[in-house]
Amino acid sequence: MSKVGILGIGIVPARALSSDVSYRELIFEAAVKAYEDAGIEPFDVDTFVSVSEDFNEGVSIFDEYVPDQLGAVLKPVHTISGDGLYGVISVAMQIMTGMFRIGVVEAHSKASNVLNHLKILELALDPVYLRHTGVDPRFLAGLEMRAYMEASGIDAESVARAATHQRTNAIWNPLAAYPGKFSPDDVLLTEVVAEPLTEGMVAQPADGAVVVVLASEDVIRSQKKNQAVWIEGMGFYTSEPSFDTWVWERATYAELSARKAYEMAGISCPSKEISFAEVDSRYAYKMLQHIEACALTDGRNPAQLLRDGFFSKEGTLPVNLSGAHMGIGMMEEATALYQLAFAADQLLGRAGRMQLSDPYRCIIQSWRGLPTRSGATCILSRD
Amino acid sequence: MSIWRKVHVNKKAHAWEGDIPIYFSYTVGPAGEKFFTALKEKGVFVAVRCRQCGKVYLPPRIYCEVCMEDVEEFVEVQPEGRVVTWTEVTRDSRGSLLEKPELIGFINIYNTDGGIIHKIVAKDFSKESLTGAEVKAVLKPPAERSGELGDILYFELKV
Repeated sequence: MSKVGILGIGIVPARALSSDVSYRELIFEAAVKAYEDAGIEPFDVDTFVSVSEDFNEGVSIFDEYVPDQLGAVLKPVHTISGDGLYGVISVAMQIMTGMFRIGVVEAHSKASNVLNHLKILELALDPVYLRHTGVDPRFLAGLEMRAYMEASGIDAESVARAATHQRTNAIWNPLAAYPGKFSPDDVLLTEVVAEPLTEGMVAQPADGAVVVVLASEDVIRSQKKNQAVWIEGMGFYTSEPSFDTWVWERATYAELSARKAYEMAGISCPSKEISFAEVDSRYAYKMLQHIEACALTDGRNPAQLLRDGFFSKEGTLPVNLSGAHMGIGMMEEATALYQLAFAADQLLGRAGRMQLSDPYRCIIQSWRGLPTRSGATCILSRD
Repeated sequence: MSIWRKVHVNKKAHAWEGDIPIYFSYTVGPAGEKFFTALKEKGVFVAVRCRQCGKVYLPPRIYCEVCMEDVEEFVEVQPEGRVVTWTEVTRDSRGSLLEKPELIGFINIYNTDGGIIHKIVAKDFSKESLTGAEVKAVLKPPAERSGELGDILYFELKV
């Protein structure tokens, strides 16, 4: 099987509003940047994947709205509704078959077009057994957060600290829409969404677009790139999809997908063999839960490790230096690809003020969001 | 190829407003029929046991997610259980403030591996003691039930 790496990435910086352009133009801008970065033309691309969800776009069969601005007309294109990493894995698997040499993944967010996000989330709930409550559908996050806190002994202040950790990190990420310096108390004092979850623990919507060009090893080597970033491991899982069989306190989907990716990458001790991690944090507690699920704590309490600076830039295992969802913004399928782009820059020594000393390998973990138990994981490494 | 010009004046940025007025009638299926019929007519829940692995599903379904086997051993259970986790919300699904905050919990129904997510009414409750608390469903009077989850008014603490 062919080894797969990143040939180029194009990103439109995340922002709370983007009334200057339509979603098509956001994608177009990211695509132009990506092809320039990759040193290719769109007609060089063999296969395209768009990662999107019809309800978030406001049109059905959104696939048909993608090819024009991507340079994908008269090409194989399909849509995956899941998460950006699912798209990366889909294209990587296509390239690994040997039938395709260059593939493109596109993810974007035009969240500012959506006038009532809560209704879209409510429509994802089981209509017969879950929608009856009529309350803010983020009650599911409140239920999950409490179960996780009670099982792990983590308090709300620690979750608030996870939020500030990411907002602060985003200060040094020029692609992030929500950088800021806050205290845990600031977070705790925001409006209660679904106790113990507060507004300050919920990632805020942002607009943006990412296009990632993946290619087989021979293509990347022929580009004579001095250093390249490779996909060493991949995994995607759905654990228990029905709420009545959820294991409320655990992110089983993340445990399974991380384990699969580690296995593929030949990693036996993640906490020792991973230089840094980017995990999903649509809700601040998910950062801590996902860190544990990715086996990065060696059984230690992630809240205590966060307090001790273990996950900071100077720490032993930096996590979410990009700012992740809390700092970059909530862009549904796209945020994980902003994290992937940040990770690639880290590995190539291009992360600016957040650059780590000689990182070699990282994990990127994503979640499809409420009310799902689905997520994906990629392990990236450099030459 | 690139975007040569962008709108850079707020008042010149246009947006077209649209909505998606779609309506559904969701079939509850054979297991759902048993559940909602029993709720309406007997005031009890119906669960279903997988003969192969022993898992008892509530809400019921006609297949086992573990074994992928047909499950047909339907059993009636009392609408009582234990609070696994809970939250308190202040807004409705449109984002408007509720008249008063509502407690929502996942309740593991006794003698099953599943449960129901529903409102909990707990007067003078202690936050420390709600997880794990025993609760029972308060149902609408039989004549007012229509065979839906709304037939359960709320769960209340068992005394």
